[in-house]
Amino acid sequence: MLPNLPLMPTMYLTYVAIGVALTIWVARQLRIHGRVFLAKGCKGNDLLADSLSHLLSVGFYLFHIGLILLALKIGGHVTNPVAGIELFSTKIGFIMVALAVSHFLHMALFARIHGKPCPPTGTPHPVVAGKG
Amino acid sequence: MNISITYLVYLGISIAVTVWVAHTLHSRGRVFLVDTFKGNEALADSVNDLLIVGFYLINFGYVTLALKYGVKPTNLHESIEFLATKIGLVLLILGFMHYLNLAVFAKLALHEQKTVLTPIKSSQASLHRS
Repeated sequence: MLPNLPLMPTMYLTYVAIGVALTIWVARQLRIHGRVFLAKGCKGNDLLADSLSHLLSVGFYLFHIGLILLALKIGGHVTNPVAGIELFSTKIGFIMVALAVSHFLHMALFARIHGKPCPPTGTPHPVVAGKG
Repeated sequence: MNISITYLVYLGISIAVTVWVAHTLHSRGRVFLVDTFKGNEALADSVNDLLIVGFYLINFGYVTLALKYGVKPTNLHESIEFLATKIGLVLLILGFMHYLNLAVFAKLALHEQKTVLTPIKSSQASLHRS
């Protein structure tokens, strides 16, 4: 049986903890695996690739933790554990779908950066300079 | 939870997150700006500082403006909801401002790249003509 804890605060804390843990995991995966694409896009300039990777991670964290906190009170109050589990599952599902959309958007961005030189190049890129 | 304690927690968390994001943008964005302005560090630092001042003003302005909005909480779980909604909105606005700053960096870089490429293209065109 469930211990005699206040239902709503316990659910809120569990929801925020799981949401933030999932966000950290996806952000880390994107940062570790996306760096390869960014390094290639930035023509081996590691400092620039690291900075871009870090800035994208910060944006990812802000957006998703903001969304988790904003969605906290959606769904109203529940009084019994079954309704609590249903509400909890709906909210975590919503956070996971949002994370998935953001994940694919980041992958599209990596593919875009990978195909082109990193925006600040300093010197002109020979392929771009040769066009037209 | 007392409403003044809730306000203090809200202000504390919001200001701490704003300072952290601004610091990250300032330190990591500098690399982009120095590269964009071809090593002109004084210009890069000036642009960086001006962007950060704007970032602080907008975010602190929003944090203080939004303080009194919303139904005042009377118990613990209403306080948690009140704090979560307010801090969530602050984080989303910070995220939006952060991406806006990244877009400014990219736009500056593309603008600088165009000004570098234009004379090269025209010199190549004159070479083809001759």
